[in-house]
Amino acid sequence: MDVVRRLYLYAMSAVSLGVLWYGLQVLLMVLLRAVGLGGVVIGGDPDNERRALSLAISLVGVGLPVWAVHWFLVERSLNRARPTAEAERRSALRALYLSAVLAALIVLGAAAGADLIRQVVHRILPDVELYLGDAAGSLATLVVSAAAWALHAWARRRDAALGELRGAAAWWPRAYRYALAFVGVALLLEGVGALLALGVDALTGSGVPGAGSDPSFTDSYGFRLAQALPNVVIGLVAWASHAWASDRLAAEVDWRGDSERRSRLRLGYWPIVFGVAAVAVILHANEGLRPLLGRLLGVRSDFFQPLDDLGLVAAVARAMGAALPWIVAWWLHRRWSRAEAAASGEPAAAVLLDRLERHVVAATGLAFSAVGAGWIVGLAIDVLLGGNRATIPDGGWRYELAGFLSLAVLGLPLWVWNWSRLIARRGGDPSEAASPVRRAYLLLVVAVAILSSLGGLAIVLYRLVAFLLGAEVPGNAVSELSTPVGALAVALAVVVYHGLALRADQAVRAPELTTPTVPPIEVGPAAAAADEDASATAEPAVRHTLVLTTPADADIGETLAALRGVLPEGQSLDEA
Amino acid sequence: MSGSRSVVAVVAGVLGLIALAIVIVVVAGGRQPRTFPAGSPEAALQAYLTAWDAGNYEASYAAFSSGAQQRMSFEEYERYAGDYRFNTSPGTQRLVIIDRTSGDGDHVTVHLIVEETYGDGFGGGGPYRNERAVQMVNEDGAWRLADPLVWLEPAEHFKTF
Repeated sequence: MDVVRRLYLYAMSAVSLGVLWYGLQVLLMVLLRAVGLGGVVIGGDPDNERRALSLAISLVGVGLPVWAVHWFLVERSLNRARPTAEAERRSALRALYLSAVLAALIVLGAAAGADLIRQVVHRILPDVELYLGDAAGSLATLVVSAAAWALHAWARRRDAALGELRGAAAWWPRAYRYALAFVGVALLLEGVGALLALGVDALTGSGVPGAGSDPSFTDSYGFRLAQALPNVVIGLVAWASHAWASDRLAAEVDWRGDSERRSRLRLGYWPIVFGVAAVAVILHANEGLRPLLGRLLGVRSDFFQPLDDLGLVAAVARAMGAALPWIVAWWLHRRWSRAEAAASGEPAAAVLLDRLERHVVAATGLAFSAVGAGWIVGLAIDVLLGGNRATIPDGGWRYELAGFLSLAVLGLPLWVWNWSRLIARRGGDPSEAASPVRRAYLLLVVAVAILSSLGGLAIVLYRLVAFLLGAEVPGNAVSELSTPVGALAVALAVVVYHGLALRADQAVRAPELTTPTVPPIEVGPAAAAADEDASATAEPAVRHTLVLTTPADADIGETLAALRGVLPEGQSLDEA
Repeated sequence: MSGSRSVVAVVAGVLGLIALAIVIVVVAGGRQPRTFPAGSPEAALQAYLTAWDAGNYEASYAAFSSGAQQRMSFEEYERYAGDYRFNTSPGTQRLVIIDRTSGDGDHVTVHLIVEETYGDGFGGGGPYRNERAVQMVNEDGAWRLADPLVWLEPAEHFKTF
């Protein structure tokens, strides 16, 4: 099937599927309402249901034939008797279409499922607030989305069962799986954290219980429960199902397992989880450390709300509760990823995984600690040079200092711990300097530091140019400049430090780059023959590094002997 | 199951669903307003809504408590009702659903969900859901609306017109 025809068929399938989905959702909603789901009608327009049914039938009447004809043509082109079948099955566009449809349907279904759970919570706690969810509509959305999802998942599963898929045909669906697993785990952890924080408030009597107060108050226990519970359930289902599917594929012994285990997406999933977990832990812990440091600095409020001793204890416990699920998930993912790397039998896999985690977490810690340090340096400049930020009577600077000090205190250990390990590794193994991960980290840090300092630099230049031109700028010059100068100073230190590390790495790599190429490196009888041939023709030998994958119990010697037997004259194969 | 057969299965399933929906909604009557026990707050509120829909303002005004009638005369009610109908978009369809009834004794609150659809349902015309809480009071053995309303909107909203 040519590309243009394929584009046409999938575009038409997508649009008509959308119309059909909407029509079926309304149709099922009408059906569910007719059998009593969705509340007791007391009054209103009696023709409402018939009008909704008319709408549903018209949408299905338009969407169904168009979708059926186009999807039939797509399916027919996959018929193995046709010469186009393999090209269609392996096409990137088909993989993209199936992945996008699966993702869209699961988002719709998850939103409807979350709405249903919220309705159940509000039904159990009716005094909390009136919830406007529509049980029939949500259930109809969930069922129609699930049915359409199952149809497309079956199509994708059948594609994979018929033989190897490579390139985009393999990684689009994989990207869908890992994206859903990641979103699911994030929802789950935030939901569990919110439930733990709610438990802390209930135990300490903090927050707004809700009963007897304004029923629409969104900080009430009931409202918070109704928000957190759907995240837990939907997140758990999304994460467990998609992570399980990925793990099951990775355990396969055929091409699917090999492709899954070696995929960069699977490898990249782990450090993304580590990085986001680090960000979440810092942000949640900050909610407890900030008021604690504020108390040490003489501030008895948080976010301009008075905070007594019990409130402070509750804030710290709430922050710990919200951060705890992320810490546990981080630890679990760390264990799982290392176990998988160890099981691969390739020491390089474990090293690469560790390198990725340490750089990602170091970058996260550095970002937070640099932001905090920049603000603190700015305040120090202000105090030393006679600015007025620390003399403002409302004491707001103490509260801000507590917030930025908290970020610095939380970020610094993460950076120091991971970066010191990376320095030690670099010292023990100079080849670490050639690592693309290390180089990417250093360049990224330099780039972000430069970009983040542009705003501060512009403010400093504005003041300088205004002074040179004799223009009067209102405000205390020291206080106006202290924060940007503090940020610039820290950014400069970050750029210089990491720039020097880059330069040192470059110095190690330079000899490699200037080494004369094409040394005669093959050894053994075949290589000797090749050398003779090379010297005879004055053409250098070239060495290629190949990857050979075998079952664990394969006789490697026998395999190499078989391969050597079919090599063209003058070529050799040796183990490194 | 081959891909082509799956398309046939989907078409058959959808057609079956349509047939079932037509049978239930058209033949069996679909979702109709429930008849509430006579003398209940819900029955009184339903009678008020039925009178309003029929344009029978004398009957709907009679559903208000004496206190509500003191706060809004019949003339005011008629005028507000005319303003309300004039300002309501043509083609607006409403369905009033009971969420729950709370309270006890002579004072209860009926929590309602009003579902509105505009036009023919194409182009984002709903349904949109809004909440209403109607206070009911028992006067001389009959349930009445405790506050002056224009349909289900507080009458105070119309006094500025």
